[in-house]
Amino acid sequence: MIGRRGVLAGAALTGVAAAAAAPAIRRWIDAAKRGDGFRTLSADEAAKLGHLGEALVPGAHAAGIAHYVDHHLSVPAAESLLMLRYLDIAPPYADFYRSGLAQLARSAGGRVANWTAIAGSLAAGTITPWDDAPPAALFYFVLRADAVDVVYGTEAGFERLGVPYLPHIPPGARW
Amino acid sequence: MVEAARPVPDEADVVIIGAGAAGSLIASRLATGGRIVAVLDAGPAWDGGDLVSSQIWSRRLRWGGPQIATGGAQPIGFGFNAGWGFGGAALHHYGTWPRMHEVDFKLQSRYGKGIDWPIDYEDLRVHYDRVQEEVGISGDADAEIWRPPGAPYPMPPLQLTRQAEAIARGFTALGQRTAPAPMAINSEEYRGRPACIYDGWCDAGCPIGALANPLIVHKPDAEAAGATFHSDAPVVRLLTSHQSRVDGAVYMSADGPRTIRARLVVLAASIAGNASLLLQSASDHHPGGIGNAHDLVGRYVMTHPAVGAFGLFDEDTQPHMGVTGALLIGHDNYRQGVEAGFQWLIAPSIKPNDLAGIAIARADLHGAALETFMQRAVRHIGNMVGMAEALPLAENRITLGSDVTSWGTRTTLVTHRHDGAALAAWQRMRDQGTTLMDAAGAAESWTGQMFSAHLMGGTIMGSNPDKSVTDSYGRVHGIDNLYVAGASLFPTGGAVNPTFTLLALADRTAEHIMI
Repeated sequence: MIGRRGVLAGAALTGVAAAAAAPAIRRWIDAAKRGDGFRTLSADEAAKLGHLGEALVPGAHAAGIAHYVDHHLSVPAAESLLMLRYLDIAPPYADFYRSGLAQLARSAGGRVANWTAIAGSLAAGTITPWDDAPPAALFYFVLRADAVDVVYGTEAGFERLGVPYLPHIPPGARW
Repeated sequence: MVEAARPVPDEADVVIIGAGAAGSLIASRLATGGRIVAVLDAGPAWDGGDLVSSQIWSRRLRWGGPQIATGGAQPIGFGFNAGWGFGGAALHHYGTWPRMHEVDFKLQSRYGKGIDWPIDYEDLRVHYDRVQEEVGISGDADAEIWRPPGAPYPMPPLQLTRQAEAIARGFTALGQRTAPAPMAINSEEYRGRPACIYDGWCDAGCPIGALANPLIVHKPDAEAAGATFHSDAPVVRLLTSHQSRVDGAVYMSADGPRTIRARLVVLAASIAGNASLLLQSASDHHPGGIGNAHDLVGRYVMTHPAVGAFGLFDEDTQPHMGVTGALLIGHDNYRQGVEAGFQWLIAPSIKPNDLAGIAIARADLHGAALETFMQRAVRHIGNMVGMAEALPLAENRITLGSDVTSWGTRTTLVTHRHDGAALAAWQRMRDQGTTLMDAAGAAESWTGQMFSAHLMGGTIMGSNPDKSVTDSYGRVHGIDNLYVAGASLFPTGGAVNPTFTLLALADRTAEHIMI
């Protein structure tokens, strides 16, 4: 069995890991502010993801949803932490996001996007046109879940809600 | 942290495929009995330090192998329910361990429904009792008036949270009975493992060992007796040189396919893995796959149709506290006649995010409305999960596709729909969920969408080789030295969580092998 001493040792190690990872996190946040540093998504796709994520879950843009999704699209599927892993969607997961984001662009028709309105029509299933992409309801569900993860699912997110995190072993990084 | 894969031996007395709940228990029993046992698992070598308290990071513990394609009217939820690596699905399971009811074993002969098991509850009772004593269950057997006969639980019930007390009011008001949920979670120190501290992270894995999992119970016992566990070694087919025996298994290594020879092989690789491997092992001796002379391998896949019921209470329910499984259980709606039944699992802890989290409880909300809801719900939500019985249907099956995976195997496909009685039971359960929440005094109540809980069937056991894949011990009909373990053996699944029953079956299988 794993005793409390082992857990404490593990916690200490993850604390070290967190400290070591801090510069990397700082770089991601800085990259998010600059709008660059994406490995799989294009800058345009990332921007759309950030805008839609923010409209679905306030705070998602600043929490780094575009970098979160981009990072987990850039690792092997077995290491990806995206909600898609639960939903029996076939990798490569980038296809799911790319086709949905491209459809969003077509739906906007080249106009300056009203992301609040787009989020509303996506949620209501009334967005048109919507074809050659994952079902609108599924795309809404997945992007909203991703945004919920980065806004509410981290230690900072719990703190924002006033919920004690109470970890056995705290995560060494947000994601 | 994840260990490097250790070399797989060229031969062993027994090779077990899958280091989850059933595989680890059988490894423990057979190694203790003097057999040389090697356990091969497709995924990583997790240890307790990997069980990070995070809904995001816990997704590492879910299936990470080649895509299992799911389809049908009500697809099974493989990605959420299955495991990946040492511990299997039991590494992230919730530890809710009710026993199956006596009637669950004889649905066909009693009610003309489903398929009879080849054994009765009494055949499993001693194994339930043995596993219960070994692993430890907290609960109150007398309070579970629906529970079949068996030894009392070795630990008193877990403490109730404010959330559990709030929801229990609804059951009392409507005259429904509840009992402390039987949980494989320590309410007090048990066999050197500490008591639960109610921080609600069970589904991310419990690194302190208060919640039982294979890494803290059967795997260490197996290793102490000499069994070896090998990660990153996906078995891709079984070796056969005779009609009635298997010779070992072929697995993928970093250097390509390799062979381990064994006198006995145990398949314990989840419902998809077990059926798929039998089908992938087609040869001149077994043209349709091993054990598949009657086209039954892969059939009768089952999952429980489940629903979440929610309420917002005026009081602070502290919903983040407790355990992920349940603190109270209700079986007043369990099958009592020809109609399918269901159970309630009351007051699971619930965190803000993830598939079973607060935000997804109101998946319709977004923007400012979601933020307003979250701020209130994290202190005032109550929730419970209902799961209904579903019958085995031959058309619900695991098959192989024509594409080739990264392991060099054919793709695995799972098609599933629920029978009409299961859908009707689910509707009754859903309607009752809001009624109970209202009766509990919730200011608002609602239910979620249907989801798939637990995976069962695919290599069902039976007395008749023409109608089943294995005998009652899990031995594949017509093959002397090939056994199957896990919930894939279930001919029916009742309306209860399957882990306790699959462990009792595994204990029975191991005892049979050792005789």
